[in-house]
Amino acid sequence: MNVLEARGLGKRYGRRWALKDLTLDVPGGRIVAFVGPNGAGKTTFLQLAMGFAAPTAGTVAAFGLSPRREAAAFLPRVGYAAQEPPLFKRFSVGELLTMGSRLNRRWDGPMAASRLRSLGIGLDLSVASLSGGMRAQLALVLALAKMPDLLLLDEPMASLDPLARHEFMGLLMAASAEQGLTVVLSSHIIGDLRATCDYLVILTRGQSQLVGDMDTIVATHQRLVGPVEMMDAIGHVQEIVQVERSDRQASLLVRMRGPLLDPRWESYPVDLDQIVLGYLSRGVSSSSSGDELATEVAG
Amino acid sequence: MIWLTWRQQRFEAALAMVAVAVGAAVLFLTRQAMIADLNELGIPSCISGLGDSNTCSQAYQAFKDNFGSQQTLLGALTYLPVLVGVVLAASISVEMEQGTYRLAWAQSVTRGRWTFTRVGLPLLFGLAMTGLVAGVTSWWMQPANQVQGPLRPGSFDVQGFLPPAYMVLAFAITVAGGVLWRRTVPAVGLGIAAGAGIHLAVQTWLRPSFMAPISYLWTSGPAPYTSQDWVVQGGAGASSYVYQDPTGQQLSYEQVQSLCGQVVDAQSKDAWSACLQAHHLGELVRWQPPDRFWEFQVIESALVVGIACALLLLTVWWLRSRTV
Repeated sequence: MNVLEARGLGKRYGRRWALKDLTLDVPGGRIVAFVGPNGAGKTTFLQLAMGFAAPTAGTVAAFGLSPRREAAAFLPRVGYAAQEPPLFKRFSVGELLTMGSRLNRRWDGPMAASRLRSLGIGLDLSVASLSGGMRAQLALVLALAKMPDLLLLDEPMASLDPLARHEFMGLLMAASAEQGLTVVLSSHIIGDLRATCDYLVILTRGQSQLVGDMDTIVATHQRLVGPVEMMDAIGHVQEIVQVERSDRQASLLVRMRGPLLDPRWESYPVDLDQIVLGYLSRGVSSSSSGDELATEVAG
Repeated sequence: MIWLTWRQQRFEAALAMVAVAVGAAVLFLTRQAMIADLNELGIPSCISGLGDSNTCSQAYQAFKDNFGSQQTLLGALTYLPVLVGVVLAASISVEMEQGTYRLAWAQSVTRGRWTFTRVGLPLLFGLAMTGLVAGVTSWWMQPANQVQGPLRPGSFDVQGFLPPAYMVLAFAITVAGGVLWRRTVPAVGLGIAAGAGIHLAVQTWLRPSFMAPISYLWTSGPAPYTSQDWVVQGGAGASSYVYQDPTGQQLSYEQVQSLCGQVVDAQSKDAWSACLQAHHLGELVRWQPPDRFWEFQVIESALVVGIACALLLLTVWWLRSRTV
């Protein structure tokens, strides 16, 4: 059964579509990564999924519940944390846990306290005194203490250094395995995602470029190298994502639609980074402006 | 939600309580002095109609002069509610600016419940605080009301429903500014400026004509109004005078001056009076009698709370459907 579903989902701010016509089905138990440059619509999607914003077009639902119209039933089942998490700075860590226990019927306080203890975050510390990494971990612990079935994380690791990022992912992986929850996270860093995520959504400029199971995506994409003059012919059989060409030779990133029969093309496997970059640069080149999006994403 | 609201605002709440407590203490102490002054001047017998009218009007004037030294206190009391409203609303502005409302919205509390508690609870607290202030000042003003009536600008503003009403207005302006603008400093500035500005505008331009004032053409003899009336046109110490002849034609002070000359000494004053009589001119005086106090209170607080309610409705609607 699908935990999260979107149908033709769109959000317009003024004249600009921050997200347009997104359709996806996220099966339960998956860890879904939304990948794309800044401004691609990742945050907008999570705000719509969380019910913070109302869609301009289409629908989004989790467990068949509308995040806004059925908020009372939806909210207890979902956890949320964001980049530079909004935490009450005048509160102590313990007071944030008290807040959680008072605002949620489902709340696992002892689990949250023991997770914080093992992370070395004392309950009597003031939130303002915590480092960025600790705040991100605290926000995640707060979201997990709700015992959610679905966890939405908006760039949860953006402000973390590699070590803190590693620890954060460790906490997330352990928790998702223990609690059997579905996770949707957005990131513009693709490095860590291969090992942790099993479902991928690539967004550029509010449009989804690729949606699907991580293994299937890697298995169905290849790099084909062959003569330039055969490009049109291969384009009828396979979906060409990205082209690099010299005078005689073309190197194509393709999504395989059928078997490769022409022996003049040599095929090579590609890794996730190359696939993501291919789709992101397609998103850029299909529109006229030339931001340095692809390089930022590779970071 | 109640716990969270209290935890987020306990500092502001304590600040408001301290301000109210200090105000009440000052009032309690100065009221004793005011009553002593009243008795010393023999005003109680004047009020019961026993005193000589000349001595009494001198006593009234002396009391008003002494009471005038409380102007700073009155001014502070007038704007205390605005301050309480702004302080209580500032915390919501801070929350909008820093985005921490999303932490609460991500818990199992619907946005409607969050909005009503987060906005409603400080508002109720402010009402209780300013209601208390209004109670104490109304009690404090009793001796002064006996002499100069309850309607005068300054004293009218600190009594009855007005302190809570202006608290609600300042609160509503600051909350609306904070929610729509998401900047605390401008929202607080707007709350103070607009709260005090609307108060001054109503006091100056609207309040004198909430109800049609009593009009009188004063040609000669003693003042037609009493010490308790609020004179809104002409009278002793006014900044502008209007004169009227029997046909109903009105003349400005300058026009009458060109007719009757300037008043510089006692002699020219007599000439002035004679000139007015010769031209059958009288000074137009208008005033509001003190028994209209509650009508005026209801009209002004309804007006102010009406504006505040419109702003609060806009804020609640914005929070529930437009805020992301």
